[in-house]
Amino acid sequence: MSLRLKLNFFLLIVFLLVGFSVSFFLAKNIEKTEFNRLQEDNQRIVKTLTQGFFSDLKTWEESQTPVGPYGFEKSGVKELMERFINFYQLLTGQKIILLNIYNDKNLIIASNFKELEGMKVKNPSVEKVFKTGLALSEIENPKEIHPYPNILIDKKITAQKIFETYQPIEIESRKVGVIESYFEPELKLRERIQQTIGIISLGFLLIVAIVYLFFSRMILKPIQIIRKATEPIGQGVFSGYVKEVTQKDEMGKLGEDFNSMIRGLNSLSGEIGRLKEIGRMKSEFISIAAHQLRTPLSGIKWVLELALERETNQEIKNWLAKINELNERMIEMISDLLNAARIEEGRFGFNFQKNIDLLSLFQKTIESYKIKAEAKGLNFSYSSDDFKNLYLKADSDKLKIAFDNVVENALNYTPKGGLIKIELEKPDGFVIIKISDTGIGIKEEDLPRLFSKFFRGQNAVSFQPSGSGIGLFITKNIIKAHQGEIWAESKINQGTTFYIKLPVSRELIN
Amino acid sequence: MAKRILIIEDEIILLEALKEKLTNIGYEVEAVYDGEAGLEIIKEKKPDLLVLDILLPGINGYEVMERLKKENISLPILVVSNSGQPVEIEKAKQLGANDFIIKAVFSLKEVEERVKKLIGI
Repeated sequence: MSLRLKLNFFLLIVFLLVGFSVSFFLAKNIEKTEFNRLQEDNQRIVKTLTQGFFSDLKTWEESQTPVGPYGFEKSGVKELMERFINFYQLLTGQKIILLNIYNDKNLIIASNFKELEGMKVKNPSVEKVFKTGLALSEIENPKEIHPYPNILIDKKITAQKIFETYQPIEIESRKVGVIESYFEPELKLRERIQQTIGIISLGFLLIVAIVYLFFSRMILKPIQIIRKATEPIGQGVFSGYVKEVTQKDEMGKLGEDFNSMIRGLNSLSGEIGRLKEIGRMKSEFISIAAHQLRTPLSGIKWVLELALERETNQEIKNWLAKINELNERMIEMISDLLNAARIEEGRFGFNFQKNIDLLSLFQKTIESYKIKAEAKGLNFSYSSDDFKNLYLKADSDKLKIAFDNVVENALNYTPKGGLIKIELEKPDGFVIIKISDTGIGIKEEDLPRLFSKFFRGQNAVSFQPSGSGIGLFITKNIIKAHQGEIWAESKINQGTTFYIKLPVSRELIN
Repeated sequence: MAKRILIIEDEIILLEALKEKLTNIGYEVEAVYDGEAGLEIIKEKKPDLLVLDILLPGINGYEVMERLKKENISLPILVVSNSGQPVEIEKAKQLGANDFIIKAVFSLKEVEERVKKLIGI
């Protein structure tokens, strides 16, 4: 679900809830005021009628004299009551459900329900009116009309509300009785109230809808603007500043933050570009310098070779051989630098070939290591049988460079009398070439940086000051290009073991 | 009759060393500094082997080989270059080089071996 949809849904629910509760509250209020107005009118009419009709009675006691089998049939009060009811209904159009006239002894002396006449009822409202002499009116639920429920059930009242009015009857400023009356509000009025409520609710819902639209736009618009501006960032374009989001709230702040992020990214990308350019220039410089150095170095190499051939004086020959050795070292360093530069520029070209025979690849070089080791007073151990029947997809020249660098290190950092051992492990589908020495070792803290460019271990530097620190960097890159791995284990003053793990071709394994 | 070799190489000391070495073995060696001059001599004297540098003033070694190919002149070519990236070796071989030597890495002795392998003595 999109954010827009979620927010819309949420706002809709909130506004509808608010809308309904407000409508409901308003409706209740209107109903109440309407009812109250009606109630007041009723009370006034009842009061006027009461005064008008009952002030004619000469003596209250006289009129109450019971006549006939049920007591009050011919009493003047009864007659007055009937006239009262007729008059009331004519005047208001409303129906009187029940009308009782009480005397001062809680006795119903007249009622439009004959069954009630002559009953003595303890009615709190009537007692209250007697006591205070003030009229009383209530709005009641039909069910709560106590103490005459049966009558009302018989009458099947459908109205939800009933007006109750209590009016004292006074003759010559003497409280003589109370008129209790129940009215059902006019049907038309109820309809009118319902209509009003409907219109108000509808209008309110309309307002809610407008407010809702406004809100959702107000909240969503800045998000949409910022989202749109975010898109180009993924493509590395940092130019999309947000201009339209300026309000002083969290959204405005977000817009500001976004802009400062873009500014930051811009200066950062400029900085990165600058650094990249510097890096590129650096390796370009190394590349050019190394190339330029190569020509004179190869000139020295060849001329020295000629000189060594011709020279007959042994002493001079020795000096020339020393110069040659140094020159070879320089050529090697230049090659390393060039290779490192090529690796960094991503143009260290490989020429892979299938089914390279490991034995023929290493036999010659291993023989030369053996000679070098013996010249340095080191023991060298390996078994050429181990290398048999191992074929891999490789760039032979590059793999030789990688291997050379590791073995050269072993030769260079192992003191006289030490042992250099080349062993092979053959886990399924791989070959692991283990090159171990009993040399000076590598400090544990140096191990993680061992394969970084220009890095040399602390003890390596003090043991052998010359060395570029490029060899293992190149080696690692070559092994990686062969889908292989290289790692080392070492103990200071005890020796180092390098592991070169390479995938072998399955089809040519025995 | 001695086999004739033409060397095209602009670095004078390298050229002299090569010439010295190959002459000593018994070849008849001629040497020029640039490609155009070299092409002229090839057409004129038809040497048995061309020892060719890549970075040359004027037309470079690749262009020399292209021109030879275009003019249907075929002769053994030994490229002697300053650098030997796989792409460079591949390009040289496609243009007709028979072998490829990287100057700083190979000794004169090795150059001698390669020459002998290509044309004998």
